[in-house]
Amino acid sequence: MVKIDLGNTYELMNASLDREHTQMEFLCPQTDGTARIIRVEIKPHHDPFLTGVSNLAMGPVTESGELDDQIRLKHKDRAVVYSTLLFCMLGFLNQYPDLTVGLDGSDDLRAAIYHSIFLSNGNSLGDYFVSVGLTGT
Amino acid sequence: MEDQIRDKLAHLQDLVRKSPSPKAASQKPAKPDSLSTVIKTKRDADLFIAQLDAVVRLAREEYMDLKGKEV
Repeated sequence: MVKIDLGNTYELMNASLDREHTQMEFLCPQTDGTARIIRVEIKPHHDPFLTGVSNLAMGPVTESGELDDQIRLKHKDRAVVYSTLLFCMLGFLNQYPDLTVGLDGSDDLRAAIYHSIFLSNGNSLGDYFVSVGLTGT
Repeated sequence: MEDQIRDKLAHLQDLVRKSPSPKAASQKPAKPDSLSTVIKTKRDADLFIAQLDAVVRLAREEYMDLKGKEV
């Protein structure tokens, strides 16, 4: 179980809070002793019919400067990683409270992780987010 | 909201002021996601947003009820 603590997050190296492109980066220790720059990006959902919905993506920055949300990393502390992710989302929604953020996950495993985080941390996260779980058919 | 979190959010605003603007992201084709498989028309989107708004409103009311009982 990933225990979320919005007070225990990695230090952000830089941040932008723009409605069309929000980006925050932090240095994330790995189990092999190295550290990777992890980027959190929040942009409007690509569907033109879904106005007011933003999509969040997280992943390491590649050599070409792009975010890779497919790679599997071995984080030293997953709880702090996800706490940092949720803090970034809180920062965005605090700035733009009229928007909705979708946490889909780039694959089913990630989607399941996000789902379980909100299920197991519902009480504490409920102080900061109104979260709605959606299941596909 | 806890004071610690409020302070962190204020610190975030300071960091935003000091940080350079990010480079514009390259325009890659959007990857299909769960929503895009079910939202095909504006009507689909309007229905989805209406349902989402209703669920959010209910979740907010339940949270306020819960907090009221805790006090």
